[in-house]
Amino acid sequence: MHLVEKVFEGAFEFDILFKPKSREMSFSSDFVTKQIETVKKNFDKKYQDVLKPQAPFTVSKYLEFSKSLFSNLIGGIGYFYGDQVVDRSYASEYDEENEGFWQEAADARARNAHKLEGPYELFTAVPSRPFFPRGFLWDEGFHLLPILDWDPELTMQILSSWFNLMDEDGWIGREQILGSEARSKVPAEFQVQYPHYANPPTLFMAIEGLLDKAENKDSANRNALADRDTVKAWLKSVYPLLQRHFDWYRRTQYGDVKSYDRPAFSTKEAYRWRGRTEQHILTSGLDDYPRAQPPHPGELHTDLISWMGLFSRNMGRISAFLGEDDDEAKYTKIAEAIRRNVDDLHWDAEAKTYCDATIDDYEESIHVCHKGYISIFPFMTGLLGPDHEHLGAILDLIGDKEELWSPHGIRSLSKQDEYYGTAENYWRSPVWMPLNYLIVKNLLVSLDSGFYKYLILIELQQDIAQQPGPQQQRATTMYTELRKNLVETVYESWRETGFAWEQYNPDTGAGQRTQHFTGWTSMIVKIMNFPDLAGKDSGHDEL
Amino acid sequence: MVWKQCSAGALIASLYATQALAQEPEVFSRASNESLLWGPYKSNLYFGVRPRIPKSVTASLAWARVEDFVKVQNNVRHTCEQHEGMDGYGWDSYDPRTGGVQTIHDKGNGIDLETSFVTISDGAWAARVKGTPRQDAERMAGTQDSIDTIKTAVWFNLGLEGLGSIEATGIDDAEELGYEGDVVFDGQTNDLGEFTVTITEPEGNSHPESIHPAGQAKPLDRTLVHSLHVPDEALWQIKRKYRSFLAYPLLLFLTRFHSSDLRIPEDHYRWFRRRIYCRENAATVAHVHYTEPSWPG
Repeated sequence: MHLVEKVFEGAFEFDILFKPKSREMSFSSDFVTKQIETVKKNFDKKYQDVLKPQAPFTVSKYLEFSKSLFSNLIGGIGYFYGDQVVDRSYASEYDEENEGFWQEAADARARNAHKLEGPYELFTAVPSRPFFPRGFLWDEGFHLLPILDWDPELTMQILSSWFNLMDEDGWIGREQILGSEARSKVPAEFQVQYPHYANPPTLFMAIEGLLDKAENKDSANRNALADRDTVKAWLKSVYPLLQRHFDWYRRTQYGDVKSYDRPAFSTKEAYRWRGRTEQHILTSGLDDYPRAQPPHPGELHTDLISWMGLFSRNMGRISAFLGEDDDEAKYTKIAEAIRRNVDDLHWDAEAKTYCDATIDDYEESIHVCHKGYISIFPFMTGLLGPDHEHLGAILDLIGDKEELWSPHGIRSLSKQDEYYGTAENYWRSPVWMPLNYLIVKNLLVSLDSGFYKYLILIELQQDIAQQPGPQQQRATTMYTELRKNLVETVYESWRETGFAWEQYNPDTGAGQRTQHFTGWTSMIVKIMNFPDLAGKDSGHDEL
Repeated sequence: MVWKQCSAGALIASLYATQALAQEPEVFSRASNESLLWGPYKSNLYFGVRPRIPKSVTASLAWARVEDFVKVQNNVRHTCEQHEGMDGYGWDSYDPRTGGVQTIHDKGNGIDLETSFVTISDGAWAARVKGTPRQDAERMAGTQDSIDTIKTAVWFNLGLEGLGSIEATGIDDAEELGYEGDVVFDGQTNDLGEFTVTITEPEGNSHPESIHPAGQAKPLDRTLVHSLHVPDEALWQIKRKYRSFLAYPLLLFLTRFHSSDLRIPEDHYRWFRRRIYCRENAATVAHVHYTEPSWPG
C-alpha cells in the first residue's frame, strides 16, 4: 500500500482521479468542478420531487436538515466482505424448551463452540458510522424505506445482498460482523451469531413499500428507476429465498398454544423469541423491555406475532403479484389466522391493551402487561383494520400523557409502568424514531383508508352530526401533533449538537446514547415528507 | 428437528453469496450495476472509497494538525469515532449513482474538510479534498501565527487486497525529495483491469517553509509517497501506522519552531526516534503482494 503525504499551511485543495485505461478520454480538475456542481444540482432537484418536507416544515432549515439526514443514511451504505463468527453446535439447550432454559442456554454458549465461517459479502446501510458500522437486520428494513423512495433498484440490490446471506435452513444472522476490521468494533462476547436467533423481519416492510410502488399505491415517488416488470423479475429471483426465510421463522420461533389449552382461533400461529435471557430479549430488538418474570418456555410474545402478521401478509402479496395462486391462498390463510390469534391470545380485556402471555405457578396461561411499544405492536405492524374494535383503545393509550404520549414523541414504556426509566433504561422510556415512524404511518393509513368513514359511521349511529366529530378530530390532531413533536425534537437536537442520536429523552428531548446515529433516526425524513392534515381538524390543540 | 442437522448451511450460503452478483445483471441493467460499482463504501472511515468487489482497491484519507507534538498523537483522523472533537460531520448531499459532498467540522484539529465524491462515466471517479482553517482554531502555543497558517498533514492511502499491483510512476526521481507536481499511480487487477490514480497538486496551495537544514532534505512543498508491504489482514489497521509517517514533517516543524531546543519530552523523544527508525526501514518499492507473511508490529 501507498501513503501519499501532503503537508499544507492554511487552506488547501487537491483531487484524486481514478481512470480505467479502457476509458480513452482523460478528465481534468476543471471537469471535476463542473461534475460536483451538476451532481449537487441534480440531487437538489430530485429531492424536491421525492422527499421534500411537507407543511408545516416548509421553511428552508427543515429542507437542509432533511437532506443532511437522508444523505448520511444513503451515504452510509457500505460494502463488507469477510468471515463471521457463528456457533453452529445446534445444542439441544438452544431449543429453550425447559423451565430454567436460559441458564442451560448460557452454559451451552459458554462451551464456546463458535467458529469462523465464510467469507460472506454484504451491501448494506449502517445504523451509525462511528459505532455500528456494519449490517443489522432489525435496522435495515427501516433504512430501506427512505432509500426506496430515492432509488427502488438500489433497494432491491441491498435486499438481494441480505437474502444471499441466508443459510440452507433459512436463517440470516441478525448482526453481520464481517471480517476482522468489523470485529475490531465489537466486544468478543457479542461477536458470536447463533442460528436459532431471529430478529424482526423488517426487510419485508421494504418489500411492502416496493409492492406499493409497483402497484401504484404509493404516490410519494414518481421518479422510480424500477418499474413493475423489474420488481416482478427481481421478486421472482428471490422468491425461493423469501419462502425459505418465512418457513424458518415459523419453524424455529413457534409458541406453544396446545400444551396449555389456550383458547385460540388457530393452534399454530403463536410465537416466542428464542435467545431470551433473564433480563433481555436481544433478538426482539427491544432488549430490556419488561417481559414475563421469570422467563418461561410457555411465553408468547406480542411483538413477534405482530411481525409474523406483517411477514405473512406480505408473502401473500408477493405470491399474488407473481401469480402464485396456491401460495397466495396458503399465506393469506396464515395471515388471517395470525390476525385472529393476536386478539385471541394477546388482547387483555381488563387492561384494554395487547399483552405478552406466560404460564403461572398453577400452569395457567396469563397475560403479562407492560404498556408501551409492545402493547401497540399489532397497530404498528398494520394488523388492525380501520374497523377494528380495539383501535380506539390503542389511540387512547398512545394519546395519554400519563402513559405513552410525551412532548418529544411516543415513549417506549408507559410512565405508569413499575419499570419505567429503570436499570439500563434502554427501551424503558426513551423515544425511538423507527417505532414512532410506524405509529405516525399507521395513523395516516387509518385516516386515509376509511378510518374516517368508520368514525363517521359510529358518530352517525350515535346521532352525532355529520360534521367532523371529536373522535375523528382526535386522530387527526394526534397525527399532526406527533409529527410536529418528533420533527422538532430531532431537529433541535441536531441543530444544537451537530448530530442525530440513537434515541431521545422523553422529558427533555435531548439526543442520547450513540452519537451520529444516522440509520433509523433518519426515519424523520419520511415523517417530514408525510402529508399535512392540520387543515382537516378545527384547530384545537388538545388531544 | 431438521434444522439442527444442517451444519453445512453456511458454506452453501457463501456459495450463494458469490453467485449473487452474477445473477443480478439479469434483473438490473449493466449501466445500473456499473453506476453502483464505486462509492464511499468504507463508511466506517471519514472518507473511504472502494468498489463492490470482495478483494480490491481501497482509497482512504487521514489527516492531523501537526504543530503540537503531543496533541498530534491523538488527533489523527481516519476511522469515524464518537466524541473525537468533531463539531458534526457527514454528507450534505449524496446519491450513490452520482456522488455528493461531505463536510467534516474537525474542531479538535482546527480545520473544516470538504470531501466530494463523483462518479464519472466508464468506471471513472473523482474525489476532491478541501481544507479550510476554522475561525475558532486554537493558536499554536508560543507563537503569534495566524490561524490562517495552520499546518495540516493529509495522507491519502491507496491499498490493494488480493491479486494485482499498484505502482507509483516516477518514484526513482521522487524518492529522495518527493514529487513536485501530480503523483500518478499505475495499477491493475483482474476485476478492474488497468487503471491510473492521480493525486493532483494544484498551484494555489501553500506549504510550510523550513529554515532548518532538515528542510532541504525533505521539502514540505513536495508530496511524499511512502510504500509498504502489508498483508491483506493488516491493511485496515493502518491508522496506527500513520503516526510513524508523522515523524518527518514533525521534525521539520519542531526544528523550525524550536530550532535550538526541541523541548520534546523524553518519552516522546524515544517514541519519535523509534518511528524514524521504522520509516527508514519501510520498503519504497511500490508493489503490494497478497502473500506477505507477517505484519511488522
